[in-house]
Amino acid sequence: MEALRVLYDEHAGRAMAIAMRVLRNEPEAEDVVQEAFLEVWRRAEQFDDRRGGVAAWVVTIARSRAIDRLRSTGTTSRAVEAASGSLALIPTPEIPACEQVERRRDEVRVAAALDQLPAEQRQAIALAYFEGLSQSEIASRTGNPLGTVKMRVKLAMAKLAKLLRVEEG
Amino acid sequence: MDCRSFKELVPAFALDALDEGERAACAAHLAGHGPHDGCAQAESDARALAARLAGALPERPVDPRVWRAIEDRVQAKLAAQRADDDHDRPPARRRDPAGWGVAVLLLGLYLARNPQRMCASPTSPTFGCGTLALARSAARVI
Repeated sequence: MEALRVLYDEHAGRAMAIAMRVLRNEPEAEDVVQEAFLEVWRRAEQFDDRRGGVAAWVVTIARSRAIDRLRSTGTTSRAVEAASGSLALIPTPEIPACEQVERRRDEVRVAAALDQLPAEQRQAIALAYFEGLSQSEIASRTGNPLGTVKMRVKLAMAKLAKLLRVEEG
Repeated sequence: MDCRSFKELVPAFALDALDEGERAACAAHLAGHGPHDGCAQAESDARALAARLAGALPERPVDPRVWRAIEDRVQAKLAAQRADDDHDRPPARRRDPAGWGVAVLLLGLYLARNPQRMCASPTSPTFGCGTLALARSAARVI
């Protein structure tokens, strides 16, 4: 229980951020955070550190549960409506002046990498990751050919990987 | 699906952005025995990158009642597990007094048939230990 509390203290804020971003509803996002940490507790033995560390694991679970909820409650249109027509899908965090500097630095680093993508690639990534849309759904939403969407997703991920590697290297 | 095709799709696979057919094909390829050309690593890297995207979002405070709800549910599950364990456990393992009674009876039978296992003197320091160990092994049998 204490170990779970430590994990919670460390990662609940990030889980809440992704759940809120997907669902845009605080009570639902709180339910997702709760479900996500219960899943972490249940599946702790399956954690594989080679797959991106604890933070990535917790975030992946929270995002998956948020998207499941989005799909099951038929609220996809709500998120898509909010997202469509806007390329400012990813907020640029303010640079903090105080604590948690390293963590905030990572926020800035990832946001800056996203900001360097061409707008249409950034939109494709945002619709896929933050709205939980498939490439076909993105094509249908944006009116772009499926092949174009697939290429944008692929190029965007390759560029992000390169940008973040360079930043860290 | 070959490894090259898998790697073409792995960024979208990691974002859960594939349609069901492609997703299933990727999952099957990954689960296959191979040989693979770094497919598991490519998937792991892509998933780690995808998870980092959440890092672009500023963390949000979480109401303290969320943790309390988690704690309540974990405690409830633990209590239910303990109850199940108690129910499934053989009687002697539950330190059931009746089980111990049977253990003592078995011990008596054992010692009657194996007098050499008796200590020279009941006051010997090993007597208590041996008795206890036998009682325990008998209890495990029950």
